[in-house]
Amino acid sequence: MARACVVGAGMTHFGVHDKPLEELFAEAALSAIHDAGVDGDEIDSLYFGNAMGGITENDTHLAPKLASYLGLQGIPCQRFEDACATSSNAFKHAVQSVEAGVHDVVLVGGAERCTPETGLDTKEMTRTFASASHRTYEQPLGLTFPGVFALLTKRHMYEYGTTEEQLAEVAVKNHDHGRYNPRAHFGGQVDVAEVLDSPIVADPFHLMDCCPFSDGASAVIVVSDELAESFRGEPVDVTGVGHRTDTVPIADKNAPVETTAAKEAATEAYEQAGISADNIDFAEVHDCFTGAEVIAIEALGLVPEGEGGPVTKRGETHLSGEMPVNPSGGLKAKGHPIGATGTAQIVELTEQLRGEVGERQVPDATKAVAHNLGGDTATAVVTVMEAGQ
Amino acid sequence: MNGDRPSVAEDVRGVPDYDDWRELLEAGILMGSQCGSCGQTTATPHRRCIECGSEHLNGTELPTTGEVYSETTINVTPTGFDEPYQIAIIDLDGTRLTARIAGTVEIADRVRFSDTITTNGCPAPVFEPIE
Repeated sequence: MARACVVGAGMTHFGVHDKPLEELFAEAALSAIHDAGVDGDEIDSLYFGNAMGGITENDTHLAPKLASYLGLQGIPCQRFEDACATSSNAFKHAVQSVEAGVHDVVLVGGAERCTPETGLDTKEMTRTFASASHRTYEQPLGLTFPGVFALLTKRHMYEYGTTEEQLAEVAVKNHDHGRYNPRAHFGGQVDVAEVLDSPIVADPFHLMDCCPFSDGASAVIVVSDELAESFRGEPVDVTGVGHRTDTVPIADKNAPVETTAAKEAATEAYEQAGISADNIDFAEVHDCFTGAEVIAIEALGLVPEGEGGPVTKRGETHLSGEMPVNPSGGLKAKGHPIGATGTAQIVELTEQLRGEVGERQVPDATKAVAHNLGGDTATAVVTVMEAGQ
Repeated sequence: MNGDRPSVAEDVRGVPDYDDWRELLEAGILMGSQCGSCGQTTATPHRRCIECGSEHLNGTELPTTGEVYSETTINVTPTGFDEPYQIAIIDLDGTRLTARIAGTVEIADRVRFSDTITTNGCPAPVFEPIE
């Protein structure tokens, strides 16, 4: 039973954009609106995600600003901020609102600019991202986000024997997938040696273990199950959305390496959908760093604990493997405009489950999961979507 | 031991907060927060227990030696930080704390609390390897 349906999906190219957030978001929103065949006056509400605009562009109160540019002023509009899980949380609230009958048709999405087009260089943007670490107990140490995931990954390597070569295989695979995604920031054939030869950002991560700074926007149209057939866009069912949090700072997490919030969010999402990890045909996961994908596929129950590295090395998570992970290229190759990432995963699930993505299509996919982390894994949103009946 | 040296028992009145933590840290004491109901201990303050939700939290002195739980060296540093540095999560007899490292350590190495660094007026602990 669907909690809600996505009837329209769209996103910009992820990469470098020299244009205001409102224009970036409008491009994604119009693409979703046209895909759905929704008239402007049918949209009841805007659920919008942007994580850092207040810091990066001195731009806040974005929901009514962006709505105004789209001629949607007047309806209830709200903005979400949960670090990298920002627009997944907007999506969760959109699903709840149509499920509860509060709204019939909701525009939900996110936009963010993270490249030097903002006027911020790598050191400034590294500092901005670190605003999601603990203000008094982590930021004074100089902890960065590559550093956060490096701490988790190093412990994973210690406990399970995961190797730098296995981590590099994640980057190789996701760049390969990115070749088939015309909206991806990067994509191409790279090998393990190139990853391992790239400069170290925070060990064990080399530059090519890290997702890029990207600009971009994504959007979907969420409607109630009953109304889904009345739109032109082919509906895809949202059957589960799990949302959990964990303790901040990292040192206070009971089990930092297992990403407890993601495990519990996955359990919740699978229960709502009435399925298990065994039923999943492919996954879009939060590979902000290569080690994060290894940990993510374990947290989702797609592979046994500690097996994420070897499974990747064997090619099982490649598009041609048994359990394709990040067919879009993931954050690693597709790009990671923070507030746009969550709904971009929903865009990929929607288009894959409709069977319309061409060369990167997962054959016969009917059930898929999206895994989006915020901050130091203290926020996790896991979404299950299924092809319409 | 200096007679003016503060102590957790004498200095922390009521539920420990950031001001207590930083004052004691700068005086060479790692103050944790211990739940009076379930005993859960964290190395930095919370207002309610993260395990059982009790409001009855007390300051407690943590051991100043421990073992490296995980570590990384930050090469690409944020604005305000320059040369690469190592950060580690330290396990202090079951309570974890994130700290800077003076020197170089690996996971499972023994370390001791040795110093503090201050960034924008906010102090943070520094640990060093025990030879």
